[in-house]
Amino acid sequence: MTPMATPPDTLAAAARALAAGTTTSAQLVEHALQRIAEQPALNAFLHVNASAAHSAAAQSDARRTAGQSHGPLDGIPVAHKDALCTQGVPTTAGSRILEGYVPPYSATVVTQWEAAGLVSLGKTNMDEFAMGSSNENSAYGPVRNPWDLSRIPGGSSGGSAAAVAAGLVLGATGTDTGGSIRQPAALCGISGLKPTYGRVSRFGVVAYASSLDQVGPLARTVEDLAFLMDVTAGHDPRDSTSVDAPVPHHVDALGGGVKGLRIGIPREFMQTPGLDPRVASTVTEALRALEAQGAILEDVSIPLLPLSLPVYYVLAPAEASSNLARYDGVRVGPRVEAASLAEMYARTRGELFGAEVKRRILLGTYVLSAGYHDAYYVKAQKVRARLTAEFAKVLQEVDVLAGPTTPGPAFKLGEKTQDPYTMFLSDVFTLACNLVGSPGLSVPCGLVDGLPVGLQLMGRPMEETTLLRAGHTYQQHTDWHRLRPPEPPPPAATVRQKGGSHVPV
Amino acid sequence: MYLFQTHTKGARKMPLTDQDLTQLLTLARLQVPAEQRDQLRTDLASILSHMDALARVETPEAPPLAAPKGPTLPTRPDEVHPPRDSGLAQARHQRDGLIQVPRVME
Repeated sequence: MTPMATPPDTLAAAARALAAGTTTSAQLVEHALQRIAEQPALNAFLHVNASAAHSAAAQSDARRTAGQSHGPLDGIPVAHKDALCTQGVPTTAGSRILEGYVPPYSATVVTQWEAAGLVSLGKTNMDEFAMGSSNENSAYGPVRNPWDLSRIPGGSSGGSAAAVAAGLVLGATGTDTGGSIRQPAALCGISGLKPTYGRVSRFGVVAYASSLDQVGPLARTVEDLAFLMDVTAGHDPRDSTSVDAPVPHHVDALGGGVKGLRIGIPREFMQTPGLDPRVASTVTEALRALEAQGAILEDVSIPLLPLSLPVYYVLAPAEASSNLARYDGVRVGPRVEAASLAEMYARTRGELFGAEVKRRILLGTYVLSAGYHDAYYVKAQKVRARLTAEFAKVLQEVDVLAGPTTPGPAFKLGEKTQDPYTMFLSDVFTLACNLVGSPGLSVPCGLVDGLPVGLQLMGRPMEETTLLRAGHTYQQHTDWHRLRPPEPPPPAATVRQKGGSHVPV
Repeated sequence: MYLFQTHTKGARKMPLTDQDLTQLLTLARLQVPAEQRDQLRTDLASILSHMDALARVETPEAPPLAAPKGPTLPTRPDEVHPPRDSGLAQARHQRDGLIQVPRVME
């Protein structure tokens, strides 16, 4: 196969190259598989399905040759977070308790991407059951940040973010329960969108916290996100929380600029303790760039915003303790045998769940227990109602809210693992979106210590197109989304020893 | 009647006791090694201390919000999907078209 002269490095560029006939799906897939093989240190993939990808690419090329392409994305290599069920392909959600599980069906989003012709190369690594902010909670080892392999990529969709940032694939799915798309997107220097709660189907997605979980895309540019949203958004009768509402054309909505767009900057965000002042000034500079294009910046207040964190860390563990009750070693996955049924449950769950998952299950069990249900769980739901009302009120005055995606750039592996609450603070800016159900977008907006940081935009429910238009306008006038992490050193040459193993030379 | 007798209603006055942790582990059907219990109690107590900030928020008459969008409870045709055999294929043991599970009645 003839290699491509210059491989397209965005999804939109790949779509144009395929349409122009200057590349083929087979070439794109081969290039992607080669990139994956060159960067094992990232640990971004839990499962690579090369033969299926080759086969899908060949079918895509045949369709295009026959004039029967499934659309602009037909033939482009992508990956799915391991929280999404994939028929016939292992799905573990980063947990040992689902080791060996091969789903008999695919998540709706996986099916939608297949129908669009997108070629899945495999499943990406993640924090176990999406519980984490650093990807250090995966049972299969941490993902590393392609900008600095000694640092975390963010979580929980860290594998998807690292894979896109390092150019292993051109787009990937993520799930976002408290920032798990936006936070790793920011820390890896790519774009990520958490759609409105109900905008994208969650059928076939391993549940963490059902009132907060949402599926969304990660890609290098906002234009790429719009392409992916055009094949992802929509009603699914198999998901009872899916919203039956008209779906706009996201790519068509990218134009138009931001002239007159009112962007509110919650003062509570910029006053958050622990916000790196360099991140604050980078975000402020990004907002000035939008202002230069005609956006109107306004100081706004959402007084309950600082309470997003305690509300989230009551509600999410409560829901998780219920959702994860189903994993007991009886129907699927490994089992630790014991003398009694109760002991078998406890040993299986105790030995096969990781430390963070157990901590959150216990936390959720505590806040739901008699005597504490009202004080914690119901109280958190009441504060959530008030926070949602505050968001709705301020979003009548402005079109979009903006702030940092993360308090700082990517931290070192192991730096925060000893203090769970300090780790929780990594999500302090992203949690509110999930609590109120709004869409949230992160776009790269600068470097701090040579590491990427993100600008977060949040909007009214079902108004993803407003966020994408603002993000696209920003990327039309800045170059942060064009920065790429350093290329890894070429793999050491090896020679094959008798017996098959390789040794460096 | 509260599950955790060492505490008063609505406020955590003391760190989690080892007895509390045992009760929680039983409810959650979890087993943890003895050497991890102290650290686990410390972590949980630390996290819960940050949640106490919620008690300071006035929420008079505020209805609790369970989800951004209330359940609509749509119905769908009562059809088996995916095929029964594909679901059974994941089971460790099966018999007569059913998943065979450990004995639940002693």
